Order: sequence, then structure tokens, then C-alpha cells
Amino acid sequence: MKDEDGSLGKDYKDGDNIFEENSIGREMYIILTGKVKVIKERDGVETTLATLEEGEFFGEMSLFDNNPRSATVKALGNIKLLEINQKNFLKKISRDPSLAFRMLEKMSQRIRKTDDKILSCTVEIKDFIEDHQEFI
Amino acid sequence: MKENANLELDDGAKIAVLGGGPAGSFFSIFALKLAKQIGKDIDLTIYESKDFSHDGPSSCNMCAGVISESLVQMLAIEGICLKPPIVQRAIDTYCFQTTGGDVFLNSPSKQKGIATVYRGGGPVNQTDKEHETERKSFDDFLLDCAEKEGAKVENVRVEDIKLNNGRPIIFSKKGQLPDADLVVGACGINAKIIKTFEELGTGYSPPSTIKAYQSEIHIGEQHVSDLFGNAVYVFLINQPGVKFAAITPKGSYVTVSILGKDITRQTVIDFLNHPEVKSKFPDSWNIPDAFCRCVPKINVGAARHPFTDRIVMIGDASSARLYKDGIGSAYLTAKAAANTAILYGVSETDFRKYYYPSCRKIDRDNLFGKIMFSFTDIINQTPILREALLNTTRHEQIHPETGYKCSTILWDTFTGNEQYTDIFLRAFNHKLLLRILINIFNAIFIRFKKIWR
Repeated sequence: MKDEDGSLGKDYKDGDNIFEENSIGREMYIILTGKVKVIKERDGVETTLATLEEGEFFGEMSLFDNNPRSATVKALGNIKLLEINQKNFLKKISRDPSLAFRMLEKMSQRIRKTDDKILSCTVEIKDFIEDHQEFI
Repeated sequence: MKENANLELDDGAKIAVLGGGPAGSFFSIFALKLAKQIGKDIDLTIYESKDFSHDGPSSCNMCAGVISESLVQMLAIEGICLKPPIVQRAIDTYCFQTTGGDVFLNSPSKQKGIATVYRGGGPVNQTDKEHETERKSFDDFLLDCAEKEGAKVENVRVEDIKLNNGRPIIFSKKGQLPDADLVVGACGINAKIIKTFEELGTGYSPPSTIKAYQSEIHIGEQHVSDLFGNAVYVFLINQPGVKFAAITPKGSYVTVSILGKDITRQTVIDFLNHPEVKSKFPDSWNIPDAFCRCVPKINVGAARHPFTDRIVMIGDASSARLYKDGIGSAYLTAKAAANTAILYGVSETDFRKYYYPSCRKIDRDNLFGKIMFSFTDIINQTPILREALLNTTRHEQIHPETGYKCSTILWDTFTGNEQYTDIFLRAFNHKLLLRILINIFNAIFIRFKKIWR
């Protein structure tokens, strides 16, 4: 059987933007095969915030807070994604609130990682300031 | 009525899950995950006598093997992603074939969201194995997921269950099995053990059933791709005794599912010989003399009292959605039972308060399902209504600006993607009813015109 006959979801090619920062989105995505990178661009400089792998999800924040996308997500290689729209997602959660357990677990882990990053950045800045006291 | 509200599962508590189908595996996965999350150590054993990696009905949990888009998405959110070779074909289209023509409906989500799977190792293979598509049983995959969460799987058939001072004791042919603080009946309705649960005197009675006929027909992978592609075919051809018939593509086979009264092998042959059905198969193709087939019972009613102290029935042995999405019902009931057992307790009171509402919800929804399928029967038997429905749906496909009201109702009813209550309420749309009415008048007018000429 050709793989595409048995593969669920939508196909994206290497480098495709799944969505762009500040765009309006009403879908979340789950990675069935491949990887994506989450990036932010400031003054032409692209910073990779995270690389997500099979089984991980993204785009869920806009479903909860209705705000524009907080970052751009790009396909790394040819990938397959399962798309879930906001209405269907909220219906599922309202019928079975425990469906959100894993999502909250993953979101908590992401917040912890972000906290760690902020802490290490703060320490680095603090060290930098201390090392360069004479110039301030 | 017994009231025993203080039966909590302590650290080290033992759970025996009778049946390693989707209901048993889902229960085990969710119970073990949740227990881990709250720091409880649970010893869970799944007793399953079948080896799902083997071919044929004796190693299969016998159903059409269609996983609804809704369930595919919920499983993905839970971290259970379905991929080939578990998924034999990803579906994005349903074709409604009537004697007056057909209409193709594409998935409203515009993606291949429905999965077709084999419940066992696959059909009994009559052909060259080297040319077969790679396959892995869906039930085997879920059982592996349960094992990864920490479940023990014993290849043992549970033959008997008794109550001793309110505690269930289970027996295999060889004798008594280890004690359990909770016994989960995830044995479906085709297993003999279901009778034993009924005889326990706890008030449990299994749901009412009808028989479904499933046949796996080999036509070769290329033919499946060329002739069926990524579409499930639903036939409304008014064949006597047939309530519902569908052909589902999978690897190098198609699964023919027929529901109705007194379905025999001859009914299947008559169905396959029907001109509308035969036209879907290769020109040179003849019905094989032998093909893998089974006649499982399917749940069409609600079980009575599916719980007592330390015993809970889930999946088909409890409540299942009418005709559709049985695996989705297994997921819902298993999860509700797992949440109840781990977070609240395993007393009758706990199950009534926290588990039973999930079953009742399915049962109430089935009342609307019965009405929807009664309408389908009437439409199937009435050429004018069949034509009107077909034309309404075709019009929506050609003029999407009018909305996909009829198309989505048909899609959700036959894919099992939505609750019947939602679909039923959506069917009472005045614009949609008016459009169908106009098409009924059109169909009558065309017939009169033919008579006058």
C-alpha cells in the first residue's frame, strides 16, 4: 500500500508555513509524522523557539484565547498534520473535560521550560551587568 | 439498594480487566495514566485469550473497523496517533449509492480524518502473502499502548466469576486467578463470560443485540486504490431484509458490512451481484468461492445496571452508539469508568454517580439515532424521497454557497462523527426541509410528466 493511502491528516512540504505569526487561526494541529519548528522573527532575525516532533501539538493557544498566532510554525521536511478546528475541539472538551488533561500537562511542561529559559537569560544578563559594571 | 460509598482503590490495589479489545485497553491506559498522575500505584492485569496478530475471525474482535474522525482526533489529543500499517486506508469521502444514482460527499474538515483498520491480524488469507499489504491490528496496537503504561497482559480466558462477601473472584479453566479489588467487564457481547456476569445476581443484564454480517473480499491493492480510493460506499438500494450496507476499503481487501434481519451468505452474494454494487468491482472480477466472514452480534440497546460494588461493565457490554462508532463508545465508557475508579472509588454509589451518566448520555442519544435510522429506512424504501434527498445533496455540492446542511447531516449520520441528538436537531431546519420538499414535488412532477407522455 502506498503510504499516502493509509496516512491520515493533511500533507505539508519542507519549508511550508503551517501558519504565520499574528495571523488569525481557528485550528490546532497534531503532528502525525515529521517535525515542525516554531519561530519568531524580529528585525529580520529568525529565532527558533522550539522544535516539535511526532505526537506533539501546536496552535492550541489561539483556540483558548482567540488572539492572533503568537509565532510562525514551519514544516521541517515533508510532514503530516491532523487539524482540529476550534468548534469541534471545544465541543469535545465540553463533553469530556478530562480530554484536556494531557494538553494541560504539555502546556505546563512548556511553561516550566519557558520559566527555565527566562531564569537562565536573567542570570546571564545579571552576570553580564556585574562583569561590565565599570561601563554602566 | 446497597450503599457502600467507601470502596477506594488504595496504593497497590489490583484491577482485573476482562477483555483486551479497545474498551479494555482504553480503560487500562487511562486508569494507569491517571493513577500515575496522582501518585497511586495500581496493579492492572488484562485477561485476553485472543492473539490479535493472527489472521481470521477467531483472532479478531469482528467489526467493520472504521474509526470516526472525532475519535481519531480525540485519540491524537490523548497522544495515541494512528498511522500505517494500523491504518489500512485513510478516508476523506463517503459515496451514497442509490438505484437512482450516487453522490460523493467530501469530509467537511477537508482532510483524511477517518481511519479503516483491522481489528485482528487481518482476513484469513487465501492469496499469496508476499503481495499482501503490511498490516497491524488496531486492537493489538492499543494493547501495546496499555502495556507501555504498565498493564500486564495475560493470555488467559476468564471462564467464571463469583462473588464472595461482595468481592469478585475470577476463574480460568485452570483455577482461581489472583484477587482483584475491581473487575472490569470489557468482554463485549460476543463472549460467553457475559452470561456469567448476568448470573451474578447484581441486576446486570446485557444490552439487546442484532447480528451484523462482515465479509472481507480480496480484490488486490491496485483495484482497491483505483475503484474505491479513499471513499467508503454506503448503499441505499432497498435490498430486501437489508437495513444498511457499506463497502469499506482496506489495503488489498474491501470489507462488506451488512445489517439486517436473517442475513446469510446468500444475502451477501445477492448484494455483491446487485448491478449498483457489481459496477464498483473490476469487470473481470467474480465473487470468490470462499472469503473471510463473521456474524458478530452488535449492541442496539442499553445494558441494565452495568455496575455494582467492585464490578463495572464497559464498552459494548454496557452502552454503545447505535450502529456506528462502537469504538468511540468504548473510549467514552472506558474513560468514564477509569476516572471514577481512580479518582472516586469502586463502589456501586461511585459508579452510579460518576460513571453511569456517560452511559445514559449514549442511551439517550440512541433514541434520536433510532429516529434518524427510521427516516433512512423510509427514504431507502421510497424512490421519490430517495431521489429528492439525492438531488438536495447534489445541489449543495454544486452550489456550496447554499450551505452543506443536507450533506453534513448525511456525513455525520453515516460516519458516526456527531451525536445523533445534534444531527436530529440540525435536520429540523426550515430552509433544508423546504429544499427537500421542492425536490419531492420535482420528483413527483417528473413522474407525472412521464405518465402523460
